[in-house]
Amino acid sequence: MLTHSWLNPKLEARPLGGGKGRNGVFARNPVTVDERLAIFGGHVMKVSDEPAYSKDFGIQIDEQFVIGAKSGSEMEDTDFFNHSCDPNAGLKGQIFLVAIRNIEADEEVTFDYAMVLHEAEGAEVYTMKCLCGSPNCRREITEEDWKIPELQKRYDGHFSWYLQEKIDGMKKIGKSPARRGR
Amino acid sequence: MGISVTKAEQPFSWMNPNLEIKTTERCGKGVFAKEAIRKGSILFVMGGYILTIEDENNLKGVAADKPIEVSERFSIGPRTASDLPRMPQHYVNHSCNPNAGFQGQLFMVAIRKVRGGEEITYDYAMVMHPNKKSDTYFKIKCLCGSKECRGYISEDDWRIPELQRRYWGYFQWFLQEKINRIKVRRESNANP
Repeated sequence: MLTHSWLNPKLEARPLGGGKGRNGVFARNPVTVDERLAIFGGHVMKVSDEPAYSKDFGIQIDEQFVIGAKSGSEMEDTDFFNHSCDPNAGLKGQIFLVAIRNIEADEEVTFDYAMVLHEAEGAEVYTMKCLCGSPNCRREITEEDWKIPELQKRYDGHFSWYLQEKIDGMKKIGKSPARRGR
Repeated sequence: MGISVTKAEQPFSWMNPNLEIKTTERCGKGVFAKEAIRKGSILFVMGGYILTIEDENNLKGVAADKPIEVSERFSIGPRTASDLPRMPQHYVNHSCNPNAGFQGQLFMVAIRKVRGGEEITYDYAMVMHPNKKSDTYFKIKCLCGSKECRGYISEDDWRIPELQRRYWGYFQWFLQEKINRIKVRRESNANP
């Protein structure tokens, strides 16, 4: 299959089981911290142009844009990374997913959706109930989670580029940076 | 928005509506500003296929040499020539005096104010990097005609200290990380 994204051959999509009816991405072999796990490509789409669930077809790379499959029928294994409040992967730039700690064989590979989500003009508000089961589970994942100071500290350097710039800018001057003109 | 395209024709990239594609005098197609563009404006949010070196080596015709590196081993680009109109960032030509650069992997931005009618260009030094597995070593004669012209553009140009200074913050993400590490090493060597 001619894919638009790249998935590290150490990883594969598997059904989650437990009647969940969804897939997740799992490590076939152990992975070391900082190893590149996936590179997200595909179609760049405006969140406001796509159905409300477009944020499930791809990952958000900007206040206005996501990148990924243009329809559900074109989904690839890289579209199945689930959220966890205790993730083992994070973002570098807009499209690199890297291991943020060592990952064991058969462990599910997850990132925290707070690393990519931001409210999008003209689009429905995105929230998700979380059932990850980790001790620090936030229960509800929202587009505002990137603002949580504890997450900014824990995931420093692993937010999507546009969020990391906002966070670093806020640190430098002590308030929100002005938006770039378009 | 409001333009109806079939899913099969849907563009891969977002292109600033103030840009248009025209034929240049000597370099095939190019991308031009219709009206003035502010420094910092996003010109392209680049979509496309993530390609390995092997994929790139197999590209034929006008699609060959088009992909834009995102790392030493991967690039983003077309799989065939018919993909190109849907990812027009690949029509942007090189200049040794560019008006565009990169932020992260996917944003091409104006690095200075762009005049109406001006061609959009970036310096290929912002993205190119040698690759041992590639069949070819990329080195071409430059036709940009600017007074900063280096004469030839090659895969090693990202190492030129003057370019690292001039384009600071506007290299492809993986090159900017390398340059940042070189800078840190230089400074710690100077101040042991």
